[in-house]
Amino acid sequence: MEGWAQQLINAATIGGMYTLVAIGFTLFFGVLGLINFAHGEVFMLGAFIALFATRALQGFGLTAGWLLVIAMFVIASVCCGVIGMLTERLAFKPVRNSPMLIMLITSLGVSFLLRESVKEFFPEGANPQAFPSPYMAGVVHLGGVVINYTQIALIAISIILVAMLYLLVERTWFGRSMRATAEDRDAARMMGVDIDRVIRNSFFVGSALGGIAGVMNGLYYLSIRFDMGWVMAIKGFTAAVLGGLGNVYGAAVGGYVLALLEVVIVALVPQGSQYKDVFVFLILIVVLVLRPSGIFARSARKAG
Amino acid sequence: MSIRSIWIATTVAALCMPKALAAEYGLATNLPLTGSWANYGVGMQNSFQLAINQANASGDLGANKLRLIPGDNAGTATQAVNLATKAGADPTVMGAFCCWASEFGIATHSIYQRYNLPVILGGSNDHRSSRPFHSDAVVFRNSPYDLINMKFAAIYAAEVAKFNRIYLIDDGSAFGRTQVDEFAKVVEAKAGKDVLIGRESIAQGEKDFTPLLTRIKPLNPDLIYFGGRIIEASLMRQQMVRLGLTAPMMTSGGTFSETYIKITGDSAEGTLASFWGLPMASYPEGRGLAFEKAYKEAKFNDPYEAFGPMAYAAGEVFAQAIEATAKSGGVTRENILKQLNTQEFNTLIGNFHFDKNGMPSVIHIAIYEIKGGRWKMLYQTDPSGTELVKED
Amino acid sequence: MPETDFISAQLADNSAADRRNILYDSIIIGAVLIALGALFVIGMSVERLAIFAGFVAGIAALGVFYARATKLRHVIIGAFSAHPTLAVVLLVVLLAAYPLALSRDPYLIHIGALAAIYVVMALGLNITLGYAGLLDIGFAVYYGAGAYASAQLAIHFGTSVWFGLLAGGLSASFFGYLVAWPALRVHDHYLGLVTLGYGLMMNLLARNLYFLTNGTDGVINIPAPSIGSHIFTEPLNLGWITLPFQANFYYVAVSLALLTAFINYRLGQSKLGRAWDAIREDEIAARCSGVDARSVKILAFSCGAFFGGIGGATYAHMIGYISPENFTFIESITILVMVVLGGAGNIIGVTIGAVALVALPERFREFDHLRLLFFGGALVLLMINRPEGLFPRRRRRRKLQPDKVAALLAQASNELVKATEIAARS
Repeated sequence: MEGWAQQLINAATIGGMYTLVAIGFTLFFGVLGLINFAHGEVFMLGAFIALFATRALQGFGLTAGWLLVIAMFVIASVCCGVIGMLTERLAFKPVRNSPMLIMLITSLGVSFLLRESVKEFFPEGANPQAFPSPYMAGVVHLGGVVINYTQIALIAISIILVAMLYLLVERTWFGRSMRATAEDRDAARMMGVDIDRVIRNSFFVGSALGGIAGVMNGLYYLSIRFDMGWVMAIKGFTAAVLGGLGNVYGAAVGGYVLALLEVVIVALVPQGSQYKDVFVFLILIVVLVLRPSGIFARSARKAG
Repeated sequence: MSIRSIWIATTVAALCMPKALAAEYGLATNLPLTGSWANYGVGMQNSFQLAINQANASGDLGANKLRLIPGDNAGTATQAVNLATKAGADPTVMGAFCCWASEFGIATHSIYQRYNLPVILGGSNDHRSSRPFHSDAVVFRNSPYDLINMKFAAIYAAEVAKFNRIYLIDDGSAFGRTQVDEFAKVVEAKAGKDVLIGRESIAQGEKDFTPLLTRIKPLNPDLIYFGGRIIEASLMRQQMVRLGLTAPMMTSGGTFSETYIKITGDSAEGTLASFWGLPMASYPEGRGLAFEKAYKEAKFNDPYEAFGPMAYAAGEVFAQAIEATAKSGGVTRENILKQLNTQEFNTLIGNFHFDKNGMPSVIHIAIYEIKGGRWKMLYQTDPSGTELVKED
Repeated sequence: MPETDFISAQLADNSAADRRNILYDSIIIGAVLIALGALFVIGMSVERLAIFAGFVAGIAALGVFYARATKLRHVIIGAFSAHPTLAVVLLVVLLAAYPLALSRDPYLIHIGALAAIYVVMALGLNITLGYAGLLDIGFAVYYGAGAYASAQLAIHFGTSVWFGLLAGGLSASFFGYLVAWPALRVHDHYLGLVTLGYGLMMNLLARNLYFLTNGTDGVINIPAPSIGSHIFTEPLNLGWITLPFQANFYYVAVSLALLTAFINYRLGQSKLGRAWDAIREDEIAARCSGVDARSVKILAFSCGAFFGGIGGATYAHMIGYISPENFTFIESITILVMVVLGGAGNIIGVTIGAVALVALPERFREFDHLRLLFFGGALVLLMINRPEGLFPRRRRRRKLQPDKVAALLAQASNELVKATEIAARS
């Protein structure tokens, strides 16, 4: 029984990360109709930027736990947001009106650029980097279940962020403009929405969330690599598709659902650990083909 | 048609351009200089280079010179195969040093055979890359393969340390799976089947082992044997410790390195490993220490890592073989092959010759544990290579 | 610009047809082909950096010169387009002569064979992506399927390699067929994702299903092909010269590449090719015109996959070892870049893309770690500036027939006048 509880905690932690990345994907798809492969690399950049910032800050003598962690998150999210905006402006805007094929290939190219740049230019980028953990390695015991502080914090952060996102989308002018743009770009433009700004800001928000997820990943596994974004992109994207592309709440739930599915597969299926990814890809294909509007099918558009 | 004649002339000139000078002999490497295992590959490359530099400087080769042709297989089989083909097809290459990863050893030995290029395997633990498990006569090795390594690892685990609840995990690769298979076989033979309480495979590149470890924890293992390489081993160890699974983890050559300690941090404490190499101070006649000194003086950017000594010894072997053939009969691949089969070599790892299966007549296997952030040798094989002797 | 060049050359052609001299043209074609071949060989063999730098500078200068000298361009393009068959024949002769010229450099022959294999696969993707416009970024599956099928058949059932090639192609076709069904139901970028997921999934399965593929151990000791008593691992004795054994594979691979190019060309010109054009341009309109989009798409996947399989099978027998690592996402991307960079839908472009992307990484081994960085940058720049690739696809040719055009115009203007009158009256 406690095994299950432990697995649930595992799932919740990972699910939070998937969710944040998935939200990014869904935002980009909503406002731009773009599948952005580069988003996985933004996730990776979040972790690396946090690492870089930590090294710099530690050089200045800042080693206290909580402050360092907050600084990591803030710096990483802002930088990633900016990077996201830059990629939009430099790579995606020129091809905004091109066929989907071209946009997809462009995002592939950007993802390669980002990933390989880190590999080349970050010191020893090709090797896995140890990620600092300013937390105490403290744990809480609930019955036989071991929960460490990091997990608690990460779960909390992801829930708070999703709540904040809800407020953003439902209660602000920006959120309304985003939804309008996603609904019908031309109509929104005619209603006075500055499409360029909305798209740029959506990229900022999505990328910032991705960056935060990257920092979370680093704090949780204590090890980051330049190629960690690639698999996360697929998983985040699968989560977004599960929830329905374009549906922000769907993405939020989809992340946790995917994490749960993964954990179930490993726990129940013999040799499940090896086939875990196979299942994820299968889920992706099946959902794309059979129920592209996600398991929470809104009356939204069908795929393509 | 003056343009055309210029082109013809240039083509002819290019084709006639002479290759390397006759008295320079190439030794090609086929190592992971970039990619996940670069820490090992670069150390091996540097050590091999050191041996060549020393041979060139010593004057033993007379007017001849050895030239290192570096080959980076980037940790992929396709590149390893390409490099083997390239080295084989290059008539100035007299010997090759390959590959670190077992998969590459398996992939390339028939290619080296096709070109009749003698190759010494460094690492390449899986027995299927070596003779007598295939019949490619150009393949030699200067460290024992997994059947022998795992035998001693299993002896340690089952008889010396007497673990009796062992959980097995492999990383899904050829190397990892064979390693665990062999370990399990010997443990079962020595201590019975009940000692092994489970087996699972993971996928390379996977980062999250907590679901798997959560499943294992209630089984109360007292040893987790992991067949795999540094990155996965490191993550697994960290997650293990964080979950409260405190049993030691045992690995072997794919993990044994300074890099493992560096990236695993405090959780590395208590990791066990079996490895076919000794601490520098333990090699006979101070050769290990001499190597260490020379390596430091050569000011390489990276440490020689666990496999450096084997690479250095391989370089010594080639240098001595080429020296011998240059004096009698001329330096050709056939002659070098003959030398490798008959000559006695004086190297860092000892004075040895290759037996009829290309295996060295001297082997060292040791059991290590991480204590106080460093690998400490607990046991090593005795000179006859039949049993483990405790270190103090 | 290639298109106007072509048209003006065509026009010049039409009016000066009698001034064409076959000997003159064949010399031009021969010279250009030999020059390109020489450039390739020199570029690959030059060792010393200084000379290589000079070589690159020379190429750059040549390129500029070529771009400026319009008349020379017309002459060359005219020669090629007037005698396409002759050009192909000369090309074949030169390709056959390549190993003869390089008999002392087996490595370059090996590269030539490898390049030819990738040409076959890239032309396969050219059918799916270039002709039918279906984005398949899991192409490595077909490569793998063909390789494993052929290898396992040869090892376990002792089948001849030639049969294995065919079986490999068919096996790959089946995998193409398999993905076609889900692919039919999705469009555009979803399609890319489905094929991506498919590619990754198949690679993982290949790694884990030992009984089928030997898992990560890979398949070793794949037998080499043989013709009669001559096994391909033995040097090729042609009587007056003995070629290193790579030449065997080279000739087979190049023959396959030529055959594939020819089939590509015929497919492109056929009714099926026109149907592919139609669904690529505008699927709904095509459907309305009666094109059976389903079958046409399935055929696109299967045909493209078939060539991928043949390429993979050839690779397996040439190298003697395959493992799931040969068929990763990076391989799929490499083949994608070959097609996209070269020019989707353009046979010559794709061929050049394939050769370049095999030869250049070999040449610049020291910079291999920058290869993917280069891919990323190239893809982005291409998509923004020149999405049609270096050699854009040829617009479907229709010979200009002035009298017919005049008649059409006259008819159109009559209709217009009539319509205006009707509109004016009402």
